[in-house]
Amino acid sequence: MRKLALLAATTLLSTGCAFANVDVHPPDTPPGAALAADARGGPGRGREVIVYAPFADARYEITRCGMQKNGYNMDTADVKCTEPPGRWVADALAIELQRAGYKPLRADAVPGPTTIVVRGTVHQLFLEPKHDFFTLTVEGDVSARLVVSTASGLLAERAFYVKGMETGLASTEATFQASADKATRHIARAMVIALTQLLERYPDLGAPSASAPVAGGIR
Amino acid sequence: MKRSRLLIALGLLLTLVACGRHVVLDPETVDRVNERAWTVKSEPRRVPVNVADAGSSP
Repeated sequence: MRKLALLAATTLLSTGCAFANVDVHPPDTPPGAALAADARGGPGRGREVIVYAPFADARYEITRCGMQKNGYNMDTADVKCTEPPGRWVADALAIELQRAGYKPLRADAVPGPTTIVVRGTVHQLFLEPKHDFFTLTVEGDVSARLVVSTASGLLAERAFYVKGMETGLASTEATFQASADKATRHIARAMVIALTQLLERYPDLGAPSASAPVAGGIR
Repeated sequence: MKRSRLLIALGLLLTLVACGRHVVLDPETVDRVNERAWTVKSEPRRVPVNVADAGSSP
């Protein structure tokens, strides 16, 4: 009987068990002073932007944000997001806009004729480990589509897709979190760089004209 | 003997069903899906209000 239990345990362990669900959360918000320091002289030049949060959620798998896998590449447990991905990506964009010198306004701000309005749809936020010989890499894919508009008639769209990778010895919560942080920052930066490139064509846009007060908090 | 065979069969079964889905994309595919430019569907009209202030706020 003891031999049997030992064999069963060995068989189970040889599959590289990862049966526990993992929670991941959005990257920690940097302190306001750090954001203000980064914003000085940033490319945003105080342009007003309303980011409508949360973004729409059009993910293929809406019940989870990733999967745990064992050594046989089998799906063994879920990765859960503590924040809905629509809120997660919208907030990350708003923070990155602030860091780049833009002035994000609350979603209830009334846009002026040149206020930049950003809406988005999250198409993917998914984390999964990829087993290497001795280590494993948690890959995080984030995909979103932004629609930028102004009351003066601008309408532009662009899709973003990034990958965040974190290598570790085991698929622990910390490895998943590091991968999620990297992917989130990567897509937020890509979005802000792209938005800045778009707005270079239209220097008039984003002038302080919204009638509602500036957001104390971004949410 | 019979139990050992059962365990071996179980091990083989676990190996055979090792067909986990791979949802994330390859880096090359990510590059292809990621759009390189904005699609501008409509250009803004010139608005004279506050134009002088554009980009000048702190």
